[in-house]
Amino acid sequence: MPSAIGAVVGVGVSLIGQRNTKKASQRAADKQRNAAIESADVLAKAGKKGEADILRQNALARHTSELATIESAEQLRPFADTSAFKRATDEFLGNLPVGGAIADSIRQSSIDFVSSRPEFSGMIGNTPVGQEIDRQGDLAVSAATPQFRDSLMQSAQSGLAGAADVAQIEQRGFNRLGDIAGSEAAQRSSILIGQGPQLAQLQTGADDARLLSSVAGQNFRTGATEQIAGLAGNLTQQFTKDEFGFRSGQDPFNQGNFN
Amino acid sequence: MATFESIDDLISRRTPEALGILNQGSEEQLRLARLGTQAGLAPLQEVDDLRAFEEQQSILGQRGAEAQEFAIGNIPESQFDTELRRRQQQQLMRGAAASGEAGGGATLQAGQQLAGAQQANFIQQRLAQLSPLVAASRGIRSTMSGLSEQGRVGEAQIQSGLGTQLANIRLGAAAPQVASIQRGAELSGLQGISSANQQASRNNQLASLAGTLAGSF
Repeated sequence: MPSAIGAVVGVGVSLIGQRNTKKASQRAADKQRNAAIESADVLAKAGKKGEADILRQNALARHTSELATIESAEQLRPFADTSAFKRATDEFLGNLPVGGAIADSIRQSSIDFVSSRPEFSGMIGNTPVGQEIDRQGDLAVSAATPQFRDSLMQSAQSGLAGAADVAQIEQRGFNRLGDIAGSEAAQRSSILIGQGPQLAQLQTGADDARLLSSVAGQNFRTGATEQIAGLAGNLTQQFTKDEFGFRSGQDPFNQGNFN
Repeated sequence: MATFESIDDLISRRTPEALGILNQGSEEQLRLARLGTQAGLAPLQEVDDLRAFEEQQSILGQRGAEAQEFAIGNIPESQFDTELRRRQQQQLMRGAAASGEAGGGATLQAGQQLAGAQQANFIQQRLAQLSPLVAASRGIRSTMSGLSEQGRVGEAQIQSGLGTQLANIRLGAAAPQVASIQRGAELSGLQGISSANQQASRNNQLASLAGTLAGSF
């Protein structure tokens, strides 16, 4: 009977050892799991800060890009005037004589010629000759009109070219803002992807931890089963009587029991 | 030389330094880019003059009636032009006087046409004088516009690029931190397992001894 107790105690001690090994393995697995969580937290913080950097810098880039459009367009804005083209179109289509101060000055010069000559100065007024003088002034304006239309047309073309330049600058500005938005999205996603390999590593670590824990559990079960099986075998061997009615180790005729 | 207690310590101290260096580098890059743009613009700004353009636009009536009247009234006339105008009219009158038509209607018409054409030519000459100046101003403004745009676009690219660089530094710094955390957990776990294994081994020996003793009784 003491031998059976000794065997049971031995198995018990062994099982405690195995249980401790299992617990240590579980603790190791827990530590790896906690480390994975902590690491993921570190990565998340780095990712958030990195994303904030990207957002801030792209906001600055957007502002600067807008300045590029404003400052660049501002240089050409005086030349970007389409009103001359509208006016020239109206004057060409209507075939109207040049107006405004140009017409006034030409007409006045024409009349001044008359008033400055003593031969004609008495003719100015509401008389048929006076009316003819006015008509001649208008004719002088009409005669000069094609030249001034050409000048206005040149200015109109220049204004259109300037307007086209400004339009292209503004178009490029919007394209750049679009590029920045796309680039920002790419940068942000790149940061997320950049975290990928490290997160994958954490995943592998977590898998390893689970595997470790599982193997430890398996080992414990296998070890415990083996120990119990061994105990059963040992006890069976110890309590089974031989052909002479003696238990194992108690046969006085067995020389082996006395060596 | 700085000493570090751990990888965490190294990273926590070096990351701000690295970010600071990047920011400083970027600031310097921006400063130089702006200097470059300014260096390009400076000589052009000195000759940037829109007076000819404004006068042209005023004469053509693009700045309103009052401005047009003022611009035409203030076209400078050289002594030669004044003399030429006077002589042409005088020649017309002398020719008419020679043929006995000094006070006639044909002379009146011819004189008025001459005076009107002289004034029209006078304004056209001024527009012709202004035209190359306006073209030059337009060219200067066009170059300035291009330089401004390119300069700012370059700055925007630097600013946008810095975001990625900063983020990469932060992420790059996180990698060894993560590795350190993982390694620490792994080592600690392995130590625990090793210790437990040793204890188990001792227990097994004890169990074996107990079994042996049990067998001997």
